[in-house]
Amino acid sequence: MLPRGLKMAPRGKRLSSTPLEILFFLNGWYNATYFLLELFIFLYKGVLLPYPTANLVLDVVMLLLYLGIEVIRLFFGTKGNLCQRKMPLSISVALTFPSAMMASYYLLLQTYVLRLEAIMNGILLFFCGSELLLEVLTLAAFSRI
Amino acid sequence: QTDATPAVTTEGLNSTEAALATFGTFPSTRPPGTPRAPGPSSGPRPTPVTDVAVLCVCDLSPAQCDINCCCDPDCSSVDFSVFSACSVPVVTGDSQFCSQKAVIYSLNFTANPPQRVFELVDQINPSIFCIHITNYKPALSFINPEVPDENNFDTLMKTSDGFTLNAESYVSFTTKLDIPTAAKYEYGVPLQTSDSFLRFPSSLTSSLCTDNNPAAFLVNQAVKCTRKINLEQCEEIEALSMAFYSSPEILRVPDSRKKVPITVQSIVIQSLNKTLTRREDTDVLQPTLVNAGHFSLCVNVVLEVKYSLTYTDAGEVTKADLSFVLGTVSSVVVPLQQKFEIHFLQENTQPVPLSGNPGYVVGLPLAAGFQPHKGSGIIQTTNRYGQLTILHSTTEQDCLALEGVRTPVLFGYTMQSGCKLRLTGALPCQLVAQKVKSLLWGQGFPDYVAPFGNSQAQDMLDWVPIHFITQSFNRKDSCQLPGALVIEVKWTKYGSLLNPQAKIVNVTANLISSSFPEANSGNERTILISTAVTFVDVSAPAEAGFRAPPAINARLPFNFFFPFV
Repeated sequence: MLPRGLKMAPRGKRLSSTPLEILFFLNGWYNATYFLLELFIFLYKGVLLPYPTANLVLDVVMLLLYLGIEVIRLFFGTKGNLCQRKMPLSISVALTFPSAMMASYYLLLQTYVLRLEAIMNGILLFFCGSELLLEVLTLAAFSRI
Repeated sequence: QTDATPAVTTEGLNSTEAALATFGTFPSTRPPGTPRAPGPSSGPRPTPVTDVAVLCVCDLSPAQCDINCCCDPDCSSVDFSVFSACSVPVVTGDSQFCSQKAVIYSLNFTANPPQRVFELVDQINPSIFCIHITNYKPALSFINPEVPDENNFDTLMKTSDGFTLNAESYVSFTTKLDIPTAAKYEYGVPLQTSDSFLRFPSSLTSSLCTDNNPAAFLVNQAVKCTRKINLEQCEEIEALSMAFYSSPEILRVPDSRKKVPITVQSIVIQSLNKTLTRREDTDVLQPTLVNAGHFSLCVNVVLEVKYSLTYTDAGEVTKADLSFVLGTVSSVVVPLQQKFEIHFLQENTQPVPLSGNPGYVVGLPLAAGFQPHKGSGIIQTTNRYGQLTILHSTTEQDCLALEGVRTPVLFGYTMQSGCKLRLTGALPCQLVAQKVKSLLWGQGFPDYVAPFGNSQAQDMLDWVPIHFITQSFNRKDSCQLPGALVIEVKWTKYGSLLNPQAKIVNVTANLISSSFPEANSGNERTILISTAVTFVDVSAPAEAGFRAPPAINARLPFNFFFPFV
């Protein structure tokens, strides 16, 4: 009954990666906490430090952009991993690089980097690195069908 | 022990070398800064020092050692020996950074000679909100102001265009203020005449008359002042002539063409022996110098001036009346005293002054009257100073000298007056008693007193009746002679605590009598009669209190826990 060209995986042969799914799950909750904390940190820095308005607006707008990228990346990663499809997983792999770039920006290049932000962005980079490795391995496993 | 001592010495030498190396950098920094002073960027301002190794806030004396200043490069070992401690032990950078350089200064007194210990360490801020990296360099210092020169002066002037606009706004504002927009007189505004303003002489700083004082609208005044005159020139002094006060023409409204002439209503002539004569006509008279024997006289000199101005509620002056008292001045009384009054009356209104609004004002007369028959209103005399009166004391203390003159009862003023009456022999007691009573009560003692200063005569029930009490000390059947009349007025504070109004609540007139003294038929006796007025404040003191806190009556409905219970 399936449309022609769409093929389900053979029954009993599960190729999804459980560690990758665990990482996606934890990364989702961590990202929610990260963005909430970042908003409060920007409020703190805007009030107490001599923050130029243009820089503050730029950092907040890039934070929202980063949020969008993360949501798309985690969605496609989870869907590709659970459905054992290579295309969504490839999109997630491709989005990991801009996500890592944004985390690096907030770790090194924003106007003021607090120690709390350095720790949080370091954890984000760890998530990106781990997920990238596991996604590549999962893609390799999917290709052996 | 010998090995330990060289180790300590070596450490001291290392610190000294580090200090010398560090302070060696500082002199090399100054020569490059000096040539840059003429540069346009830095200008005449000194370059700020931000390096903690060079920064020394207690180095206040150039080329001289500051006491207890361990970071002063001008101090030597001899100076260190007299230091007790370091006034600035630590010099740190911005405390908001996670890692910052800090210089710790201390003194090593065990070494000989004493040495300064210089340590450059990295201080760690344990807070998670410390700044790890900063990519905004201007945040670390204040903005360096731009020094104007020939290159950027035009740019700075363009930036400061707002100042010019503000100046223009100020000029237009000033011009706007110069345009007169008043079309009527307001309270306190000087009354204008065709040439300048209406002059109302006054004694400003001394008792001498100041003629250039303007009369202010709606400001009722009554002043006395002294004028030093030369009697031989009395005809030339214009302040003594009637024309000086009657010739100006008051403008109807400020800066208008309509004028209101001042009309002379009455002229009273006062002679040398103080008698007053009313002139029939109102012609303007001139002061005239008359030589009579050894002394000179100046007749028709203005002694009193009284203006009465009538105005409308639109702020226009419609009428100006003037009354004069002219007199004769002789060389004996050359310092002349003049009296000036000005009053304002509103058009189509009858001025009836009140004793308060609504409560009584201290010093104003009590309002009192009669009720001719039951059910009618109160009838008062038009003389507000003659409604409630007491005996008038004179210097001679003669009861019959000024028999009809009475003293008004003023609110808040406790008064007492009295006089003496000499009785000859064979005077009947009843006749004397009747005479004394008429002296004490006066003519027409009222029955009612107004509770407020502005009580209406038709509000009969509001008025306070006077309680008359006759009191005698002897119970004999002999004739009773009144000796004293004591009027007691009880009043209370009424209304708001912030603005209490005085209200009269009770008035008692107590006539005190004593027995007629029996004496021989040929003897003379002197009796003393007196009247007294006392004001008693019967206000209850205000008590501080609080409202009762609300009681929470929480009763749940019987089916509150349905369907569980």
